[in-house]
This record gives sequence, C-alpha cells and structure tokens, in this order.
Amino acid sequence: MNNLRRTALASVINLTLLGISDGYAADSVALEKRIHELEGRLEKMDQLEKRLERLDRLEALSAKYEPAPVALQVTTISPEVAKLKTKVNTLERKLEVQEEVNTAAFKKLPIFDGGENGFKITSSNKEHQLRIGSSIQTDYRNFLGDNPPAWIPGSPGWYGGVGPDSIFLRQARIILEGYVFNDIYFKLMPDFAQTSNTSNLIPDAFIDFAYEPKASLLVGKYKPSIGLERLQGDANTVFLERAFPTNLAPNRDMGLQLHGSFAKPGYKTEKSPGAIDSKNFFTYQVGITNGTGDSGNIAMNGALPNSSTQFANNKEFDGRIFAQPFQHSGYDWLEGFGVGLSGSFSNPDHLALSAQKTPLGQSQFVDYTSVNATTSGTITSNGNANRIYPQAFWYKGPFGLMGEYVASTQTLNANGTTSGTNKVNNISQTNTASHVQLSYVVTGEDNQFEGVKPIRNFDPAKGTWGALQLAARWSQLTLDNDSFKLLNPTKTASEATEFTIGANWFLNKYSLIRFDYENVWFTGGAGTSVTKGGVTSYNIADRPSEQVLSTRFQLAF
Amino acid sequence: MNNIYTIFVAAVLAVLASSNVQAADVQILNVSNDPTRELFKEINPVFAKNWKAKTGDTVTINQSHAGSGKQARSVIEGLEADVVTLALAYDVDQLYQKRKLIPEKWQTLLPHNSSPYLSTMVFLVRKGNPLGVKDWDDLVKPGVSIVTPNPKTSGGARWNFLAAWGYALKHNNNDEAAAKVFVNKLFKNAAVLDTGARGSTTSFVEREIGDVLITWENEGHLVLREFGADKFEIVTPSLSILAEPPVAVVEDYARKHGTTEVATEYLTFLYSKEAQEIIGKNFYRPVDKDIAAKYAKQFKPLELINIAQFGGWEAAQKKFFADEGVFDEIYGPGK
Repeated sequence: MNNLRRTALASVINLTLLGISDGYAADSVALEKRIHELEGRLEKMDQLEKRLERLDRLEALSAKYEPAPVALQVTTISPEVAKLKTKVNTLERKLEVQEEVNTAAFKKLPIFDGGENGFKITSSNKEHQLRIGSSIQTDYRNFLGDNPPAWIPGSPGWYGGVGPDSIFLRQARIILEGYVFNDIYFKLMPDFAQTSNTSNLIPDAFIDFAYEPKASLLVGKYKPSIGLERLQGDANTVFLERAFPTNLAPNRDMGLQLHGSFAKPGYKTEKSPGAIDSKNFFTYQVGITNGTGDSGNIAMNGALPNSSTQFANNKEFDGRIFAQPFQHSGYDWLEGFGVGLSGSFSNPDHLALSAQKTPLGQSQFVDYTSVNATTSGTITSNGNANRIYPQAFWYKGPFGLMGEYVASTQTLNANGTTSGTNKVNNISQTNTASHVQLSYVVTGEDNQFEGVKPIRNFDPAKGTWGALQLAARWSQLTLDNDSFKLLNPTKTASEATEFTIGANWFLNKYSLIRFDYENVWFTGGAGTSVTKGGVTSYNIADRPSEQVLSTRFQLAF
Repeated sequence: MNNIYTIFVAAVLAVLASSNVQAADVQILNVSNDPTRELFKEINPVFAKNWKAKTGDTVTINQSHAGSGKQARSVIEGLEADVVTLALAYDVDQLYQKRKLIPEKWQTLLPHNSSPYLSTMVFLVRKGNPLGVKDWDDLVKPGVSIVTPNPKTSGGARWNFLAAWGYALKHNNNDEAAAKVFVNKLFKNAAVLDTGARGSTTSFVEREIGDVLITWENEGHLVLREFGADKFEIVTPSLSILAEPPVAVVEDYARKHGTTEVATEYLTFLYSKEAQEIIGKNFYRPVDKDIAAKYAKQFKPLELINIAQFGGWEAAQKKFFADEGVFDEIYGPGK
C-alpha cells in the first residue's frame, strides 16, 4: 500500500517537474507545497495505518478464540480509526486520479526523439512526424602539377566560382522531412551552399502520396529515377563526386512520378517513401518531368537555365525497374545483388546544353559553346533525345561493387557558316559513359547502398576508431565523333577516362572524413587551328592528364 | 504531348483508385462512455448473430469505455471509432465541430434525436442510509462527503451538475446566484473527482470513499446487482434531469474502414425490440413505448427537467463547463 502511494506521489512530482499538470493544478510552487503537505500527512497516516493493522491483527486473534457477533465486530473499530481509514482511502484515490490525469496529459504530448535516426518530433497519435536533418560538406581540392592547369578554357568550373586549390562549402543543407496523416510524406531540402536559384538552391521539395507501397505518387522537385549512382544519397556515395555516367542524366527535375515496391512473395514490403528505394525485392518508377538535359538542374520556379520554352508543350518521360532477385533466396553471397534498367525519352526544343566536366576537378572538357569554323552560334539540343541505363550493384558483407553504363542520344542543332547563310546543321549525337567501382570496409562493417555504419564510434579515449572504407573506381565518357561536325576539337575532348582511389573514415554514423585521388586522361581537347584560304584545319592534341587530391569533412544526419 | 500527359495522369489515378483492399471479416469499434460496458457486452453478441444471419459476415464489435468528454477528444485526436455512443449530445457534436467526422445534422439520422435509451441521475448511499439523505439539499450539508466524476472529463458529471443546478433554481425562485452557491457547496463536499462515472463507482463502492455517490440510474442498479442490495441503496431525489445519451456513426472513419453499412445497422439495431429489452434489463430507460412500460416499475417516479431548459447542450457547455465557465469559477485553480 505504501509503495502504491509513493509511486503515485512520485509520478505526480515527476510529471509536475516535466511541466505537466491537470487543468486545476496551480503553479508548480503551489503544487510542490501541496505535495510536501500530502507527504507529511501520508507519514502520519502510515503510522495510523500501522496502528490500525495492529488493531486488526488483535481483533483477528481474539476472533479466533471467541467469534464475536457482527455488530460487536463493527464496534471494535473506533470512529477515529474509521475516519482515518476513509481519509487514507480518499487521499490514495486522489493521487490515483491525479496520476490518471497526468498520464493522459503526458500521452498527448508530442514525442521528441534525438536518437539514432536524427531529431524527430512525432505527434502523440504517431500520425504526423517531422524529422530535422542537415548535411554539411566542406571540401579542399588541390590540383597536383600546374596550378591552375593552363589548358583549362576560361574559368575553371568550380562550385561557386572559386578557384582551384581552394577550401569551399560543397553542401550546407537543412533537411526537413516526415509525414502527415501516416501516408503523405514530404521532403524540403534547401542547400545554402548553392549561389542562386538556377544553381539548385532547393534540390528537393516533394510530396509523396504513399498510401499504397505498390503505387505511390510523388510530386514536386526530385531526382528523376534514371542513374543508379545519382539515386544514391549524397552523403552515402563512395567517392566525393559521382562518376561520368551520372553526368549524362538529369540531376534534379520537376514533375510527378508513380512508383511502387514489391516484396518477394511471402514477405512484407518495406515502406520506402520518396524517389529512392533500395530495400525491396522489386521496384519501379515511371515519371514525367519538365526535362533538363544532361546533368541539368531545374530552377525553383520551373524555369530552365536557358529559359527554353521547350517544355510548354513537351515533357520528358522516364522509367526504371530494379530488382534484387536473390533477396531471401538463401544464397547469402547473392542476397545483396541488384540489377536494373532505366531510360528516358523527350523531344526538347532548343534546350541549352550543359558542359561536361571531370568529376573531382570539375574541369570542363566538353564545351558546347566552342564551335568549329563551319558552325556559328550556340549548339542546342533540338529534337528526339533518349537515354538507356543498365545498372547493377552487389553488396556482401564489407564488400561493395557498383557499375552502370549509359548511352545518351540527342539531336544537336546549330547554324552553319558555309554554303550560304543560315544553313542549319543537325546531327544525332550518341555519347556513352560507364563506370565500375569497388569498395571494401576494412574494419568489417557491412557495405551498403545506404552507406556504412560504424560498429564502434571514433573515441580515442576508449581505443575505438570508427570505420574505414577503401575504394577504387574506373570511369569513362566517350563523345560521339559526329559531335565534331559542330564542336571545336581543340576545346572539346573526344574521350575522358578517370581512375580514382579513395578512403572514407567514418567517425560515427553521421560524421565522415574522405580522401580521394583522381587521375583523368583525355583524348583530344587541345591543339591549334590553322586557317588557309578560308579553310580551317586543326592540329589536335591530347590534353594533359589531370590529377586532383581532395578531402571532405562531412556531417550528415 | 498534352494528350500523353493527360493519359499518364489518368493512369496514375486509376492505379491508385484500384489499390483498395476489402477485409473479409468485419470489425467495428464502439467508443462509449463509462457505464455502458455491461449494456454493450450484452447487446453486441446479439447484433453479431443477427448480422451473420442477415449477411453471412462475421462482425466483431470492439468496445472502448472512459469518460464521455475524454472519449470524444480521443476520437477527434485520431481514435478511429466506427460508432460513438456517448453520454451527451455535446460530446458527439464535437466530432462535427472540431473535425467534421460526422454530418452536421447527425442527430436527425436516427429516431429520438439519436438517443436509443434514456436515463437519469440518482444517489447511491450505503445500506441504511446512515445520513438520511433524501434530496439534493442533503448533499450540501456540512460533513457530507459526496463522490461525483469531474464535469471536465465526464458526461455523467455534467448531467449531475445540471440536475443539481436545476434543483437549486427551482428551490430559489430561479435565482442563479443562489444556484451557484448551492453547487459550490455541493462540490466543496466532493471527496474526489474521478475522470469518469465508473471511476467514481470504484471510489465509492470499492474504496469506501464518501457518503453519497451521484451517478447514472443504471449504474446505481448495477452496483446493487453486482455488490449486493444489502450494502447499498438507491435514493431517488425529487428532481433530476433526463439524460439522453446519443449515438452516431463516425462516417469519416467508417467510410475509411468500409464499415458504414454495418455501423449504421448496428446503431439502428439499438432501437429494435430485442435491443430495447436488453436496455431495460440493464436499467436504462427504453425509448420503445411498449418496452418502457414493461420496465417502468423498476424506476421510481420523479420530476425530470431536460437539457432544453438550459438552452441546449451548446449553451449549457459554454455557460457551465467551458474554460472560465461556472464550474471553473467554483472549482477552478485556487478555488
């Protein structure tokens, strides 16, 4: 009985300290005073109750020897004791009611969680949730050799226009995501490291109506489901920058996407709202977007970088299927194997083209603004365009392998300067790119598409050092030879091949320090031009290779 | 291209629309006030049997019971009740006012203002009525300890309050100031304010707190049946209030669960002779005239006022039970 009262009293005190009180509680000071009074009274009543119990025992003892009539038994309890007993009962009951009221109030409070999955606020009925996250990446890039490389045309294409060998903010994102009424998911992610509207200030802003895992509808600005490495979270990629195939697909676009996930028969589908699902047996995405061209971003208001009007009537359609056919198969070594195919088609109308750049150095090696002597004006994408992307990954324990290939075809358009004025040159261009990357977690953690989670966090005082992942990548982009019917071959390379090695040191689930060394070789892209008798010829040379060493300090949760 | 876009959107919507799945067996949740546990425990299997015979479907009716106001808030906050059977119309009406979970004219959808059973508030005293309690004015005497739930959370408690207020007005020439003094004294004598009627019964019967329990008529009879007429007795005051506990289908949730039909039939069944018999047996006052006549002798005659005399529930709630209303004035913080 004492324990019950003490528990009830303790609950009242605890809940009061948490700021929870019923509608009639006075301020905390008054309540505390009242609790002290009640405690004092409880002490006295404990003593009286003990006396009462002693009396009861004596009564029971005497009854054993000489059963008393009922009326007599009643009279053996003095009125004072009976009164005190009622008081004790009343006090107990009041405390129970108070606890009930406080517990009910407590249940209605939103739940604040600052644990493993970031910071979350969940409504008491769990119908609504807001998760607050962030991603900060600070990079240092250092060109080895010439600084800056003398052959880079114009300014290097650095983020934010900073020069080479610089420290700069690669990402400064606030991530707000969650759901309302259980099934409507949302994500809003501004990136303050971007310098303007057209440079992707808000990479993600979408709503996903995920009532049914087999058919959810995502609307807003998101990553179109085309390239595999593009779909991997920015914080989870193995290297600082993605390989060449990613540059032949759009980065962010606006539109809507129907997507669905299926578990292997007999298993439950894992809910995976948003445009990326790497958990389920089979997934599909079918989307319709404005279309941004290779490596393009759409502005917040839907305007394209060159204010193209193509999408007043035209849209880009994309689709992707991806399966992990050995999930739950019992073949342990193949469980983490996934393979898929994606593609897109569109019909842009004079869409400006993005330059192609090296992944880490961001040096421009395909320049659509530098045309050859028989071409004038700017080259645009004008006409049928399509892409096809076979892709796969394989994760087993600490080992990870990922690869993809892309063939991206588009119709290039520019004005000509020969055989009279205003002759229009149209060519079909098919660029290809591929990459293979291999990674291994030396410290034994599982390697996953969603990144690496250290078993032991970095804590030198305890002798634990986090997790270490080593990786290597080969990647290549080959430009269609017909491109040079329009492009200046001394400004644009016909091929770029890169090899990168990297080390990722995971201090904990959220913090990471990366080191990458990248070497890129070029075919063409340099040389001189000679004009004789009105005819220009080119002495094409290979650009010098590029070596970049880079470090990133990352916090993402 | 516009056509392709239109077809695409239509296809998306068609896929989403076709993804609903119907459950084989039917389950509905009846969110009710405190003292109806035993009533629905008896009614539910009878309805389930009838429904099975009529449709072949198996229906399971889950029950949830607590103070009426508390239950209404739970439904508003997301407890997905298919039907509510609460203590008073104000609580049900909040489902429309706060979240439009039911139609505005919900009370017109079923007979008798959607109240399939009636009751009133009486006193329960200990055997022999040691304090000689006969009427409301005996409850405000010094030294009398009463037990009633909290009007902030319990529908029954609001009926209690209004019955006391009505009695005080009648005996004080409709002087509201005098009525306020009367209920002030009454609640000063309250030993404990439970959150619901069943909690008050526990306080009075099992914890032996208080001299008088003000409770539902059916709850009083239930105590006599469960704990013995040799321990307690019912005192019927000269005046009380006609309690009209209403019921309603929570259409939004029922539609979501695909249970609109069974939920509506369930509530309609409460008006059947079969259900009205059970209602009478459980000491509620049936609305069916024949059944009411059959059970009339178990209820002592008394004068009954009704909620209309207070201007309806909306007005009564605003005046007496809303924040800074009369109840807060006499029993709020610092009182």
